[in-house]
Amino acid sequence: MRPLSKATLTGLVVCALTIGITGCSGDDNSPGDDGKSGDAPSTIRVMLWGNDQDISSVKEAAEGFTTAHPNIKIEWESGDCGVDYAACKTLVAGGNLPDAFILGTWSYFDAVRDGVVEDLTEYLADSNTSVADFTPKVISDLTASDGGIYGLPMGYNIQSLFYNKDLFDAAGLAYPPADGSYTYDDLREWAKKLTLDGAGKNAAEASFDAEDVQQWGYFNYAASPIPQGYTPVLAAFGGAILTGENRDVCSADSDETIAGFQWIEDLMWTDHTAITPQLQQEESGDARWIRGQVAMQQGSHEQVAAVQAQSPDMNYGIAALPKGPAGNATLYQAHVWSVAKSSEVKDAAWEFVHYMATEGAGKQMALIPAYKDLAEGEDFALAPNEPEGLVQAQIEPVEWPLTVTNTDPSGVSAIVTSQDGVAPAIEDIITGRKSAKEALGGICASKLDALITGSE
Amino acid sequence: MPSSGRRSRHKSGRSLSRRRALTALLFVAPQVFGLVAFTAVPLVASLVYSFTHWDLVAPSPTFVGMDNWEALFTDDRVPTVLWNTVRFILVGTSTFLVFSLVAALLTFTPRRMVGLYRAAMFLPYVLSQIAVGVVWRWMFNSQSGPVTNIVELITGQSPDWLLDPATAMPSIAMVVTWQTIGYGMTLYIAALQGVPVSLLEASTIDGANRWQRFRHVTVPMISPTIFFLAVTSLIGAFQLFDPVVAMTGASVGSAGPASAGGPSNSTRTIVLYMYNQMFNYNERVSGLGYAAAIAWLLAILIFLVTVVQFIAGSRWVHYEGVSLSRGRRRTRGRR
Repeated sequence: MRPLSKATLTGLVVCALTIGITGCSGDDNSPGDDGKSGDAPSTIRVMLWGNDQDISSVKEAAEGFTTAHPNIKIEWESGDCGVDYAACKTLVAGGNLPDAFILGTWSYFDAVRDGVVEDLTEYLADSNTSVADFTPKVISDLTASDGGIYGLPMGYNIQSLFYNKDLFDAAGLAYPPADGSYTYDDLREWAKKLTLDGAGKNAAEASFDAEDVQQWGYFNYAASPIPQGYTPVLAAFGGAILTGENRDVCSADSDETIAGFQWIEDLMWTDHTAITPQLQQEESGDARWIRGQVAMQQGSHEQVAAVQAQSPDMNYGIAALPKGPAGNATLYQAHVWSVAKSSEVKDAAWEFVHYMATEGAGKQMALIPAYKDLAEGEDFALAPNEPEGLVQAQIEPVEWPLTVTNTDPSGVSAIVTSQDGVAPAIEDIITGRKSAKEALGGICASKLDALITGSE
Repeated sequence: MPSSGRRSRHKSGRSLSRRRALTALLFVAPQVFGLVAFTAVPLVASLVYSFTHWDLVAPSPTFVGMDNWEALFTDDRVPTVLWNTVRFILVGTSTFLVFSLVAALLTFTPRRMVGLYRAAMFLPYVLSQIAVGVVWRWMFNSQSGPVTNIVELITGQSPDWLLDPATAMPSIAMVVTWQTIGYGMTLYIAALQGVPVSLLEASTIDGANRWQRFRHVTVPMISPTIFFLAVTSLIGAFQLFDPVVAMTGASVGSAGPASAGGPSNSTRTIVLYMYNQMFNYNERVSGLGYAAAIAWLLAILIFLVTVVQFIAGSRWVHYEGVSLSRGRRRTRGRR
């Protein structure tokens, strides 16, 4: 395999590159430039993604930075780089990557592996910022195998149980303990009592009509199906799709994983207490929860903002996710401020991401700040709009031993969870076509191991 | 000096024709430039890239010879995605051709508000395929989707349209047909307006009934349009992507095309697979080179199918006075 320089490509390809690429790239971001900008005025390009609220929240948080650094001008751009790593790749190929952008834990290691983002370890040391100021688990999960930290966490969202207090009161049930000291069996029983048919019978009663459900007990995004939904359940049962330090060991057919999926399937199709994929197609379970049609949902802190926007008078509470056979577990995913390795204004970009991850944290994209001082104080957890029990339900669980994140150090996750991988089996489970054992039994040897091997 | 005058006239004539040629060249230059820069060069470039490996992030591609092509012909997922594409073509293209014609026949005759009907039929064609896909995803929901409700009213069953591998691709095909029907209808109307009334009248005098007039006069006269729509819709069908992503991809999160193609891999088309290999996967061959090889396989297939269509078309397509098969003029009156 010898490298093929552009000069050796055919003349027509050179023409294509000349016309198609240089026209939109402007080759002014050569990698390798250390980009020291000093105190000279500079302009940084910052790419944002998310909904309108997310984007405004970041811009508002950056106002303090602009005041503190009048010599650094910010040029905002909207794009998918970070939420979708494919968009970053096209920007890299065009030599057009912004100076700073937001990666997700799901795309972070793609960028690290490809050398797209700057190692910030030295910048951290120079600025006297200690990684101990951040949530240790988040920093640990963002630390690459070379020990480098290639981004600072803007914040994270974590899966918890959101419940409607009025519906619990009506069913005569005590609220779930905020610290997660209850079990998945408890949750299943509550879901039965909170699921009502048209005649007001609950799912624990013999005369319950499963064809006429008017109020559901539970919603989990496994109905979509997306990993943020089923991963915490699997982890609490001791299972996972991928395990190992590099997340490249198939565990999709372990007894624990099968038990976790079977729990989800049982709530949907045996008890008829959970939102099914069919119902999810009609209207998402989180929207039903806000309307009071679902009593409990597994969701993240984004729900707090959604309730404030759509139903500010809703009487709800949050609790950490329950204990499974393996213990308490949940999933968090962080948004990570990163500096492009190709940036010519790295110092200015660093100043920006440093501010946004520390002083500016807690105000962006409805995330829980990973900057600890802010997270547990009056600026965030104790703020008037936040629900009670936030620290127990959403901040402390990050450090649970079984808590996982959706980083992908080995780059195999996309194919393993795709239609080539485990997706058809999961569809069979959540639509009730097959039991979890029938769908997943032997799937590592028959299908997934080959995909993992072919991707490494 | 007659000879000198001839030379002078000859020279000035040559100069004039040069000027005319130059003017003509200047007029076509933008189009030629566009064709070369944005079609011919990328076409050749993609062929060259198909012999390289490039993840877009490395500084330059690496030459890998025939590796991508060997991988392509041993990739057991390719037959599946091709078959899915063919399933879409079988349903989508045939329903498009038939229903567009029916729509054209219904709105061809000038009558009150026919313009409004035509505009309403054409409107979906100008909408974004993603927006249309999102709306129809809801229309097909098996709880209260309008499509489900109608079918349930008639059959007593409520199918899981997009959740059932047997119905997911036909559902997508129905949506694409619905969206493009106005375009086909417009071309059919133009063709129907070109059918000479004298021929229809003559066939009526000869005793042909309404069906016979349609079958033996109208259809042959509009056969070039049917042929054009068959060729272009089939090419478009091979490139199906957006509706699949909008109707089967994860509706939340960032998964998008990476999660699309279900249920049970039943709607993943070759273009979606090409995207997956280009942007989502990290397999040994994944990247621009392998995606370019898939794109070329697709181009070759489209070319072959189009050639077959042209050969088959020679049997049934009738241009006014010219047979597609022999390319020589015929006199209709002698037939």
